[in-house]
Amino acid sequence: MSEVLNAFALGFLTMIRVFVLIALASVIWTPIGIYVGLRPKLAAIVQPLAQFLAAFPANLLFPLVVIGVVTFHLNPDIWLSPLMVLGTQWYILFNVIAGASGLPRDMRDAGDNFGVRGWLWWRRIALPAVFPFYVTGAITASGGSWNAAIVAEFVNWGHQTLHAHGLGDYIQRASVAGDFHRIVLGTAVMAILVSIINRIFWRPLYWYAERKFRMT
Amino acid sequence: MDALLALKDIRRAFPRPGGSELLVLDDVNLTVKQGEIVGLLGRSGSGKSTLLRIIAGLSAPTSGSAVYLGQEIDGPAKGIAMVFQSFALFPWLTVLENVQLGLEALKLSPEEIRKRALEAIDLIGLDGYESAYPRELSGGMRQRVGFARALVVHPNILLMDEPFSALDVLTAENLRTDLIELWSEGDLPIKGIILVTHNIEEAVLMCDRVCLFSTNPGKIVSEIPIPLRQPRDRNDPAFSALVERIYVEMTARRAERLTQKSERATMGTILHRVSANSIAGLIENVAAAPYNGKADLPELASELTMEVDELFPIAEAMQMLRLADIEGGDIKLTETGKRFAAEETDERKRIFARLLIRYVPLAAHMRRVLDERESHTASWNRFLDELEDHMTEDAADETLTTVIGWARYAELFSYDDDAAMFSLENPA
Repeated sequence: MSEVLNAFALGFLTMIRVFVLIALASVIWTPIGIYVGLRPKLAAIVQPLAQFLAAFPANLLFPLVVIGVVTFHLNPDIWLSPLMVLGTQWYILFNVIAGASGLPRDMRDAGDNFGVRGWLWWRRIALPAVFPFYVTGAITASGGSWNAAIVAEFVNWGHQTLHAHGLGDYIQRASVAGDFHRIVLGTAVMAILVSIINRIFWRPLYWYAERKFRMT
Repeated sequence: MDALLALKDIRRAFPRPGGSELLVLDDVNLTVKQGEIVGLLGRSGSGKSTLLRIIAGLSAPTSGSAVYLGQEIDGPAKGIAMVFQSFALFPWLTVLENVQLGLEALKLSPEEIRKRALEAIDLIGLDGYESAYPRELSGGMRQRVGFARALVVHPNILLMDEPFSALDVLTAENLRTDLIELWSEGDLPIKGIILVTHNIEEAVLMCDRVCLFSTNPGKIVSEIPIPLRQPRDRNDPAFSALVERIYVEMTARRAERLTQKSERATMGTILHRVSANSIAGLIENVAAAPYNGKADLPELASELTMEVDELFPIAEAMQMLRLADIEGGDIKLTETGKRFAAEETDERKRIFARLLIRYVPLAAHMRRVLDERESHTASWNRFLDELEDHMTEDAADETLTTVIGWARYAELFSYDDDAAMFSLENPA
């Protein structure tokens, strides 16, 4: 029983990591995606690039991070976390780009015509316009990040192994040790947590976005 | 003095792939005085909307100057508000929030914003709809929100880009009447209106002055004052006379342009979306009694309950194919046109195919390419790229789509939309 609680506690840590990193990725990529999406020529270059990066096996870059964390004596609980969104953040970017490029010209014109600028423009026009697209991207990114946790919280390079406390690390340790029971337990807990989060957070958010913010 | 807006030698060209440019507006001069409603009348694609965007500061002219109240327009100007054909409301904002947006941008106090928004909503007849979302409203009510949103900022000039053309006939008339009534009684917080339209009656009903636009490039070819008092009556003989006069002027200009430009269409001729069936239908109509081969276009239009914008492209296509001649306000079938009218479907198709080869260089060219190729196939992009040397991407797309329709009717070649391939095969 305490093993189950332990797995859930670790799952909770991973969940916080996923949320924090998706939030960070959102803050960075949403404005950039909007900027790019409103410029068709730029979008034509960036969009395929983002799709390529989403497909690129991000774990090839993990050794670099391991070397960095070891060299600078950084806290692996924090500094291994970005690896989880390395490959998945791009879903946010390219969905937001798609959303922004779909904003009808008349609506952009209306905003310009009425002098809507600055923060008012972001708040009333740009962010609502891409919101449904953003949510789609964030759901995909979040799901992918949970999976990525298994390789991101337990990283080795040569004889160096780094751990971050979390459910991904728990599952990976169990599989390295050949501990079948823990693998099953860890995987089950991850599946349960992901389902719960989808049900109480992402799905309602998705429907809200579809209902209120869709163009058609 | 008293000029709200002065446009001088406005020219607008868009760069084309290949280095050349497409001239959309040329040599446009226009002055709008206080208290005037000015109509810009022309068919779609005549650059009227581009001109409106220039006035709104959303687009810059290639050369020439646009001066609003003594100031050069170099970006969206305070005091010029626009109403869009597509309404362009923000679906995530309620009616009240949509109307308040322009006031928020003016950084007024929240109380002032609310007060003025509610006034505008009240004025335009949207009471009770404040908390509704645009998707819950009918087209007519949505456009009322569009008007309220523009009026609430108390603009000096109200720009209207085909504001009624997305609405059904009754709704449009209702909204026009309400607007004119408010304007005539001085209830609107505006000093002048510019209305872009392709509807002659609408222009005569609402405007003090109508500027006729030609196409390719867009140019003001004539200015017609409408000296009738408001409210105007469509059944008033003076009203009909003005409509007729504008109609004749538009047809005459276009016929002149067609004959002037060149006797024949070229690879660079834009083909507007006209189906072979509508051409056949119009020929039958003109051939039959009471016209017997020659019809007055305005009369024909009203009998067919069509607008100029719909009738002109068909008549023009007929002229291009030498099925009819256009003169003054009349359309007259040629010998070929009369023979076409008399024949059954199969022979009609043969006639149509011959005319395409002879008078539509694009169709002839496409057939030739398909004949010459061993595979007898060619891709959509093969011809689209070629057309884009002569016209914009949109125009090339439209032209190709039109020619596909004609070629299918004439059984000249076929097109597979899924594969985007032309071929000589008959799918049947």
